[in-house]
Amino acid sequence: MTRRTRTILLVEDSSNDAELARAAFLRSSVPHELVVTEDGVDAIDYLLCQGPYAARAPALPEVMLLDLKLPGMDGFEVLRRVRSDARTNALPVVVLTSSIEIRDVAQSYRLGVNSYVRKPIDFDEFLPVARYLASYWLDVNQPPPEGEPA
Amino acid sequence: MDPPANPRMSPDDPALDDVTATGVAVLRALASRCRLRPRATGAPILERLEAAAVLLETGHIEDLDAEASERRVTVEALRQSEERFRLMVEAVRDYAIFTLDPGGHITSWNPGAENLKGYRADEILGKHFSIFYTQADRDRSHPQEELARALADGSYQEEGVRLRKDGGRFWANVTITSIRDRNGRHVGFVKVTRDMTERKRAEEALQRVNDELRASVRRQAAANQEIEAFSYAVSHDLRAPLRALDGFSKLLLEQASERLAPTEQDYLGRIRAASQQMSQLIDAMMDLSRLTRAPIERLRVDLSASCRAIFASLEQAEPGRRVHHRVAEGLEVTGDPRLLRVALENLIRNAWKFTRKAAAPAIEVGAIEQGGERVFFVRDNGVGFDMSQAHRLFQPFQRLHRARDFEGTGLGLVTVNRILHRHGGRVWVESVPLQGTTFFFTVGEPDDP
Repeated sequence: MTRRTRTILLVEDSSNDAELARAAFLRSSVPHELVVTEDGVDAIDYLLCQGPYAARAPALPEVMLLDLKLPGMDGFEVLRRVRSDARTNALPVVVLTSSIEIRDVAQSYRLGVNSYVRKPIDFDEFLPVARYLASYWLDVNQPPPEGEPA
Repeated sequence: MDPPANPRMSPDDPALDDVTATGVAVLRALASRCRLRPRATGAPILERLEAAAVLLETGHIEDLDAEASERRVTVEALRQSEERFRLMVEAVRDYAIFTLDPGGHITSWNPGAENLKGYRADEILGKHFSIFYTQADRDRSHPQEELARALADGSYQEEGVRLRKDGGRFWANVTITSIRDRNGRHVGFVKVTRDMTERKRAEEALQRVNDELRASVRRQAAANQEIEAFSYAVSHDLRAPLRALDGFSKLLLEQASERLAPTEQDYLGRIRAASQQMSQLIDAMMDLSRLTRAPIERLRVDLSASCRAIFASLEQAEPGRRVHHRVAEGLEVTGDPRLLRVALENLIRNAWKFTRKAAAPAIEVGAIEQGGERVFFVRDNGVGFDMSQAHRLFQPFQRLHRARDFEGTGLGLVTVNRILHRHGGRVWVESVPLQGTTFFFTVGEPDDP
């Protein structure tokens, strides 16, 4: 039985960080497809298969990695919208950000994030982080069943 | 006819009967006149005339005499009391004390009133007291209303603007008390007025200062918020390029290592080291700015336990190093656990770092009593420094050692200093080059013991 490609949605406005994440996840040896959206609106469009994504097969990614500091709609707002929409509210969301401000961590959990991970500056430290994230959310974790909104 | 030499007669004198009868008649006549004009004489006099007539008639002349003498004493006492009261009222300079008839016309005026309002007694007696009120107060019949309320409730008190003779305004504290005679008849009012202008000014000045203070606190809070937003953005935006420098250098090292000469690989290594150093600097600056703004908690903190935990984590991070360390038991203070932990971490990490080249590295944490104060210390037998440089130690970005010998951000001791200072404590240092360094600190007394 063939399984569809498991998808990681990365919401990241920095092309450098996106490229480094791509390189790090490639080294994770967990098969996946990495989709990058550069801002919050684009991410919502992707999740709801609308706008530029109207033609894509309607399936939620296994996990969304969300930066907090985004142009326009910020990460908190994206999270709020994801959690308040029945079509997306079960989606596993991991905040992936350079902030370790306590209020950002607290606010993320208040809004219902599943995990909060700091982007390390040292790429050597980011490699195991990417490996853990990919193997946990794509292999270990049981995703919410499709077509069964919570 | 000459008056008798001695007006007092012997009770046996036969002439006494006539005299008595005459006296009784005169007294009765007086009493009846009094009855006709009771208001002018008043009931007490009438009663006394009646009593005198009865005494005279029944021959108790001695009693009458004694009664009269007693009455003289009473009257004298009353006169003296009234005199004292008058003198008292006249001596009062800070209060205007004056009386009004039931209609509000002024019937007495003390020097305090003259002093306060500027009118002499002869100018003001008989005038209506509404003269002291502003036109606006008079238009809304406020003076009459005050009298009505004093009459209804017994007294009335307020503060408000009043006028002096020269038209000048002052802030007055006013008490109006209605006066009733022994029969309960309303006979007028006593009004006591005090000039509260100075107090009012002081209150207004205080209010202004308070307002300014509040505005300043609001501005400060807004500025703090701005700084916070700024440093947050800076730290985020400064970190992003560092991740790129480090990450792409690493990828290049991996993917092109076979094509790169050792020097070129070294360059990439330097780029990575520099970006990591900068990242530590950003973290230290963020910590410093955070702990400068965060409110201080006041809890019991076991410094001994914190120190042991810090040593444990240092040993875990560098299992190869053997550092003999001793932490005294019972090092307890009241303070902010998180901030004190940061301060201790900086001091112990310093000691850990600067004993790296010592033959038998040793670190001791303890406390001594000095001038009635508990002074804590962190002592090492490390590299030490020249005390002539000590003043630079607590300045930001000042380092006493070359980075190649001992790494550091130049912010650690600034952070320690700031934390202890915010607690009301202080930190100082003693050092001998190549023998070691001792940092002393106090945590300060909590506001609420």
